[in-house]
Amino acid sequence: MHSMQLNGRLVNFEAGQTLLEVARANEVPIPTLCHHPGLESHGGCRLCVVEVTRAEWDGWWRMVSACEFPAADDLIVATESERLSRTRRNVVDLLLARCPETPFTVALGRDFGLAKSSLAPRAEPDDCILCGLCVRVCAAVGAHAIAGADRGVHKQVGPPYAPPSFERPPGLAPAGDCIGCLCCAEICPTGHIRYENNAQGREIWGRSFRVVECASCGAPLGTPEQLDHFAARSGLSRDYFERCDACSKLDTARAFDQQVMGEGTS
Amino acid sequence: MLIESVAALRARQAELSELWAGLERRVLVCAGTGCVAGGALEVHAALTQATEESALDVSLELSSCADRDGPGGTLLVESGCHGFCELGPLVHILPDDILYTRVRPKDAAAIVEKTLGAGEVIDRLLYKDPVSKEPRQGHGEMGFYAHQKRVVLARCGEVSPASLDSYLATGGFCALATALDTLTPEEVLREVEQSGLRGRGGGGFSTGRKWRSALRAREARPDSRLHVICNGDEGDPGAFMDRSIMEGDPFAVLEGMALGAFALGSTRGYIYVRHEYPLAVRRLERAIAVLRDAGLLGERILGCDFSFDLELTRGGGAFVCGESSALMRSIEGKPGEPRAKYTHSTDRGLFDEPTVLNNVETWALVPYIVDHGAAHFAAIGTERSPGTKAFSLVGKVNNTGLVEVPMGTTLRRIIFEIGGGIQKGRAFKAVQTGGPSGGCLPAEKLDLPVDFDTLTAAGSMMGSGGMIVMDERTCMVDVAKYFIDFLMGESCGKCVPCREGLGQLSSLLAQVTRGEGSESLLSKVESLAETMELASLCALGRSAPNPVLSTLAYFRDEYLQHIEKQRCPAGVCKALVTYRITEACTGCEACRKACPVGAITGEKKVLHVIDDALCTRCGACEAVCAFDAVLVE
Ligand SMILES: Cc1cc2nc3c(=O)[nH]c(=O)nc-3n(C[C@H](O)[C@H](O)[C@H](O)COP(=O)(O)O)c2cc1C
Ligand code: SF4
Ligand code: SF4
Ligand code: SF4
Ligand code: FES
Repeated sequence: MHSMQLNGRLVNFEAGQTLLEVARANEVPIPTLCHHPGLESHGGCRLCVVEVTRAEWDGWWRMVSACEFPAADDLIVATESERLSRTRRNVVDLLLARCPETPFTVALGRDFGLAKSSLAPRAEPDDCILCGLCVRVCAAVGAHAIAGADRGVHKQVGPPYAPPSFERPPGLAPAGDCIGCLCCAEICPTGHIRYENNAQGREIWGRSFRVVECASCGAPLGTPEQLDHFAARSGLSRDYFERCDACSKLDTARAFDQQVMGEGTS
Repeated sequence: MLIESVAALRARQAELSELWAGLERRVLVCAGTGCVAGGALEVHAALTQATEESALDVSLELSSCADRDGPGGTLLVESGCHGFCELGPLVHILPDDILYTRVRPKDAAAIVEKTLGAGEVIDRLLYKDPVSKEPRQGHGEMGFYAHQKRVVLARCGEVSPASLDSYLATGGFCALATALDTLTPEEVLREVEQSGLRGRGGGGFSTGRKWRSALRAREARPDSRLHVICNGDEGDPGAFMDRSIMEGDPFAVLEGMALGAFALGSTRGYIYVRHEYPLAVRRLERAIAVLRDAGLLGERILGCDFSFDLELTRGGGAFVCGESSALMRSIEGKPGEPRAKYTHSTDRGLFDEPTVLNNVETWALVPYIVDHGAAHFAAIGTERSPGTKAFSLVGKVNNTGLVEVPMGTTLRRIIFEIGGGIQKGRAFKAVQTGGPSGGCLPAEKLDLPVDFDTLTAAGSMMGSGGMIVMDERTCMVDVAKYFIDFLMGESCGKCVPCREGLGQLSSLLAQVTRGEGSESLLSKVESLAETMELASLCALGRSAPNPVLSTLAYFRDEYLQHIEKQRCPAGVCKALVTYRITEACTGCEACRKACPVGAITGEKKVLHVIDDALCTRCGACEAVCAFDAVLVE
């Protein structure tokens, strides 16, 4: 069994856990922004910083991101200090200056005692805090349709390598690989990624999709691209994806009943 | 030509060294990037033609110096950078030690006839001392060279970088031969450990320790491979040490990597070269091909049980790609973004396997260490920073160029004796070391010895060896803003403190240069700087506040003058200066003609006047005035 010190308390952990996981398991709160338990760590927001040291480090310490730093035996971790509060508040202040009108950052600012940013607001702000969640979820879905483009203060997320609209051959969509699954829009904490579901179908990243309906109940299912993609990725038959979750569960249950019980349920 | 065994290599080395020693003369035309841009290749061609037309015994290759009658003859080659780029194209004639500067193709005939033919020195092509204006014949008479100690740059400017023969003739591959036939890998590693070598790429991390941890990591995971990588990304503005080594002595870098691979049991290496270095890429690619043909790279090197090959990767073009984790991702074909290094790359680096990444200069020093022994190397420089360090000395010094000195040499000696002091006799103000995220040190610090720990303690750093000298006309706020803006453009944008922090620092500094803000602005700067240093993901963000913090530490008053008195003491910040013409004006009309907006009025021989409302502070008048009558205040 491994153990380390967390805010003066001896806690156990399993090999491979991050400091954030250990802290959460022990109900020690650490603020996070770009972390998502189901996705690869990013280490971009730096809100989850904590201080680590070791007895043999002779008073030397370092600030690390808890979402990435691996827990280790005999590590001494502090999740709260004057310096950490100052640092986290500055990080939030920087984000608030980046997105001064965005409800998400405004609320975050309030949590950290900032009614408004003490810094110069960005000249033409949008709602993106560059947490990278959308890019990672899209990669996890397997579409890899969006990425970070440019660098530094000019960094943006969006479909990469999109030729300018007037150079684009008709039919080629800006987000070339996007399957219209909406995962990015749903995970985005600030609502920066706009999309629309309407009578014609679905629009996201400047691209229009048809939406197909469940073969059994007629509920909207998703885009054909999305269903093709899931079929190809899972190796299952495309037919399997023609029905919505509820209907396919029902089908399975019926089939099960028929086989095992030899009679139908109705 | 395939060299089949260590014995055959040694025989070849002996034969070539003899040819080398027998040469009567060597004529070296600098073919570094600077001199090539100035027309060095044309100079070389003109010299070749002129020698062919003469009766002199001149060869273009070392091996062809053999079949001439009589001993030696003259070897005429293109060499790597001589270091004194300012005055190129350069032609150096040895052993006479005659250095010709600013040579043009039409000078070739005279050089061949007078100097090579009759042994005369052509005065008009010599370097003139900036202070005494006296001509100086060669390196021996020039402060620029006399105070240097060339170890890693020993061959740069001395041999043809394209010629394996010259490399072998000057001791090249002796170290690898010794390693292969008399040393064990462990002994090579121990030599590097005991030399005390510290990485030349930035942090000054112990090379031996890095190698040892990678080796341990690999031993712990026997199924994994160990990779060696050379960092040739050199993105610091104004730095060209690594470029000069890659261009001027490519075989040394490759031999160093082969020795590392031997010590660490690696079979695969990568050289990551900055995208903007086409000449370095060409020379290295050629050198790799030559070594493969010679059996010095590839399967069973020199017939021994040691196989190692190398691949060259061209950089992604961003400064941050020089950072180790970003560089490794870039080699893997992924976007060059840093990752948190909570697991060392010696443990999980390239392809998640144990990896040793070293800088160009670090690798190029390895053959020297194995050849001369750890103790010899450790005796150069200081105890904690052994060896020499190459610097690119630029800015307002008289002699700019590539220099190499023992660690522990004072800043004063580098700037005033080697650099020949400040241009136009102006006063020294500061020296910036350590690249864009280094720091600026003031005159009080001139007597500091240059080594890793002293520079860090003084609030700057060694970095990879950029050294920018500034004179009294430099505004330190403007300098800080320049570096912050550079870094702002180069930050990868992944993490908040660096990306947003640099943007905010830039706009805060812009306020200072406009004379706005108050003391509380400076505390805001300091508070942001602390957050960036503590919380940024990679070393770019963590060191990015250095230019501001070091100028605030040593030149705080200059910041306050801007903020409180709306004055830029150096007369640089455009919003805070006025241009005025003093009594010294002779009415020559030069400034009136130079002013692009017509803000200057005046008749011939009458004192001229600048209309402040029209003046755009472009400085054109000041630049043309021969009487120093334009005052900036
Ligand atoms: C932003 C950034 C840029 C860097 N650029 C370079 C570079 O161009 N060349 C280099 O050798 N090291 C560079 N480094 C340092 C490398 O990360 C690494 O420490 C070094 O290559 C290790 O080699 P050494 O131990 O031989 O110095 C850079 C570091 C950072 C943070
Ligand atoms: S909607 Fe498009 S961009 Fe967004 S996650 Fe799905 S595939 Fe990726
Ligand atoms: S669009 Fe949303 S999820 Fe994507 S990086 Fe920006 S804030 Fe994060
Ligand atoms: S510190 Fe700067 S360069 Fe490094 S990861 Fe963060 S944003 Fe990128
Ligand atoms: S949650 Fe750890 S850096 Fe964002």
